[in-house]
Amino acid sequence: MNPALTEIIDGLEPLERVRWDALAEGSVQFQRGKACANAWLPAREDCPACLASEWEWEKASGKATLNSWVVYNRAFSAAFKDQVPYAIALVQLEEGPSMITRMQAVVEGATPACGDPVVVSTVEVDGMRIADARPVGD
Amino acid sequence: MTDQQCCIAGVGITASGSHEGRSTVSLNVEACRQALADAGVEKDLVDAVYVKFPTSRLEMMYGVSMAEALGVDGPTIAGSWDQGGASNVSMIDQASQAIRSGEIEVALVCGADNPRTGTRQAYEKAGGIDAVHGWAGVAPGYAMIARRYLHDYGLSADDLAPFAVAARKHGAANPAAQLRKPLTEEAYREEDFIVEPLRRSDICLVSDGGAAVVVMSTARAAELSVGNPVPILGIGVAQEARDVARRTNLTKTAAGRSGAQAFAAAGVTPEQIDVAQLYDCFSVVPSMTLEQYGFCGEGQGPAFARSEGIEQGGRLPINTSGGLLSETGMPGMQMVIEGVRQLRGESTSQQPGASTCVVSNQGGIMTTHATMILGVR
Repeated sequence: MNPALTEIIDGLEPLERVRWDALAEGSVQFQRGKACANAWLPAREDCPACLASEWEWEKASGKATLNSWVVYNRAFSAAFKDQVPYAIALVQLEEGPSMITRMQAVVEGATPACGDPVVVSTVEVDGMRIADARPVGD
Repeated sequence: MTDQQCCIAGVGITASGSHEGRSTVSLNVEACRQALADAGVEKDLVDAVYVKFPTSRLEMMYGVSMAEALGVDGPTIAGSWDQGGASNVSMIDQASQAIRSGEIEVALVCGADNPRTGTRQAYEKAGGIDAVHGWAGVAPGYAMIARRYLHDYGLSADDLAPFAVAARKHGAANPAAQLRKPLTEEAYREEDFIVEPLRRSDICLVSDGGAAVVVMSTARAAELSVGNPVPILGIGVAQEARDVARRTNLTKTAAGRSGAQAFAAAGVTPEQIDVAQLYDCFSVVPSMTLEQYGFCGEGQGPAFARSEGIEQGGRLPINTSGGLLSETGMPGMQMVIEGVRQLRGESTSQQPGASTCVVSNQGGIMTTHATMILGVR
């Protein structure tokens, strides 16, 4: 693995580490408050809706909407200099939270439109599993 | 609290480009020295120092360091403001309110950065679970917004050309601009995408530099015989809470609320504005800002640029010293200073008869926003 990427992974905060470990198992997770049922990302200690600290991890269904996406033709971090060009998507999960994913389909030739339905799952890149959004039916 | 009007009494800006070996404190001192001289005000009248948090390197108690470096003994207020590029106008807002409350009389408001020759650590350090996926850098955040904006209004990446071309034309006319090479639309269209849908000429410069203004009440400026004060007619501020990677609506930004406040406070409408300095860290930003300020309808920014004209001599010249795309990539105070120059009749791309100017500042990735309307009789 690229050493700069290893450094990013080593720097993950504890709750982000839980999400990253879940991705390794093929699971995309978010948090849901026990008191108010609010669902959120990024991972944090307290519910940003009701401020309670009782919550649990929930596995995303994978159904999501593509908010927008970009193609990196140049790496903005040394960690990804060997991966360009690559595409990144901003998706909103059907459960509510928005998150950043890869979008491998774009590099394979897909030209999705903002607002399209996508399925979020995991893919293996540079020796680890990360979240990826794929156009429905692709 | 009185309703007394405040003004920009003096402005100062360092050369743009590289300042090898200079600290941000030194760049700030140079800009403040110029601004005080421009206002014709003695340093010992200054009782407040507001300084923008340096973005390239994080420094503790930076406002106190600045007051010490400026030899402002026992200031009433000395502190730094951490809202990225919106900090400049936000600090002018804070200073104006403190002046109206009677807390202070004369404020220095400044900011400096040295990401070109100093460290760019704060810009380059990627971290967190999003970064693990490859989400790094500032430009990609704006590209994410630009894609959605272009999609929602049926525009193409080429439609942003007028904003890049106008900035470069005005920059070419400004001897102090860092990038003085004009850009044609053809050359723009031929550029490769760095992070699609943004090209090199859509992305701001990386610059060292500092800039400062002196703020006081218009009445105090008259007492002190300040030569060329420019009245502040109104200011508005607003921001997003969510990082761009968490936003569910990418195209509705805080510019709208901030602009509405500023126009209401000033008692003017967009139709009454002669010239605009709209924060252009990326070419998509002034296009969206024009719309959200009400100069045109949603998605009509590029059409407005073409039909009304955003270059000197047009209906609404934008970024007449070159903006972040051409004058200096320094985040924001140059927009304030160019607004002052226009209303003093001192711009290198002077709009004849300009008496009102709107200035936008924003920071983060369309996160923080501040709007100021300047006007002379």
